[in-house]
Amino acid sequence: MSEHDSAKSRFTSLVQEHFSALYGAARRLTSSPSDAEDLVQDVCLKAFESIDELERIEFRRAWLLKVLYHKFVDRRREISRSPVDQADTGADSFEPEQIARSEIRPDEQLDQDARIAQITRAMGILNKDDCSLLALHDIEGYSLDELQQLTGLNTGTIKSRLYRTRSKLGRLLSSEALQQPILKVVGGKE
Amino acid sequence: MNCTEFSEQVTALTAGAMPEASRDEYLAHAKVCAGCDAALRGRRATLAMERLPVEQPPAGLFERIATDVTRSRPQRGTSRSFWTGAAFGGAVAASLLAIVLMLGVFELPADQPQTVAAFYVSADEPRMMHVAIEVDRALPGAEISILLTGNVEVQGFGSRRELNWSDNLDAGINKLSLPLIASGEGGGQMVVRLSHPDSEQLFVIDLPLDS
Repeated sequence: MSEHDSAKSRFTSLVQEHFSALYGAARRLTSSPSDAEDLVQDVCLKAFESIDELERIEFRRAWLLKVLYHKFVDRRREISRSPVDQADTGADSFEPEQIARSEIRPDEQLDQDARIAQITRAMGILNKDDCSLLALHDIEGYSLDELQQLTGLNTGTIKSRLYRTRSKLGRLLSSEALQQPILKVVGGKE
Repeated sequence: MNCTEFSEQVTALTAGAMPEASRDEYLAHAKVCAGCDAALRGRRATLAMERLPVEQPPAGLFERIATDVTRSRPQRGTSRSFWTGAAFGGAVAASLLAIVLMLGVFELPADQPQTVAAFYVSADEPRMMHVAIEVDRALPGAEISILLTGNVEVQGFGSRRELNWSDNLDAGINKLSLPLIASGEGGGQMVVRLSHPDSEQLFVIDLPLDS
């Protein structure tokens, strides 16, 4: 077995069983399958770079999901520097067959898509650790005890941080900028 | 009813797993408590994310990624164009304040910076500062620099103290939107430098911390 085959085999044994969960989480956070693939690729690269640590970790899936939410925040911040916010345009997310499969009417689907886009934008503004903690608990379903073992924080601290982060997320969702489409920058004459 | 109890039960509240009488009591608390009201909105948002359908990865994706990451540098599926011009866009909580820099096309010497306004920044959330730059003729290839002092950051740029780019300014009003967030006590200042082959101009904007 070549060195690469050996590395790939080791990586596969640690990550493959969690890959569907990773992709599912990534797909919820992104507007297109290609963005989700980029995100899980970032997570897998980090996992491979940290493979010795990953091998020792008991809560491997939670560790991988935590990395995923960190990478998600990084990517949202990168996008916020871009002249074009792809999450707003939805240019690469239109999938007619998906709408056809849905039981939701197209106008309702658009409302829901806009709502989810607002939520993901707001999540992308959160502190990375706060975002991952909130997501692991509220979205991925990890219990306080599991989060305690994962983070080393006591449950009182975790509860307090969850409350603060939910409040911040709620305030962000009420803020004006998140209700608006792409911000216009230099060059436009008013 | 206090905030701790509310926090403990917010998941049951949003999941509809609470008797009606209790539910009314909790909702009444949220009406008079801004923090819990925001936490309720935040929990509703995470619940919406939780309830999204879970998609399965395309066939062969794991194999391809596993091969890429264990062999060498992975080939990205897409590439993003990051900030290439004067663009700040996207996800920022806003506090709107337009600061208008009325320029007679840089007629003042560059060594006399003007303090044009103050903009209150917050450590809790980024606030969008809109700067309107008015020039009396088009200025192609104008150089724009932002220099930050003190404990203020441009959201998404971490501790970077200086940002530079060039852009074509139209005659009339050009808008620059900057998401600012305080990173510590005391606020700071921003120096906006506009330069063109003909001249250069500095403006100073005070950025006090909104206490």
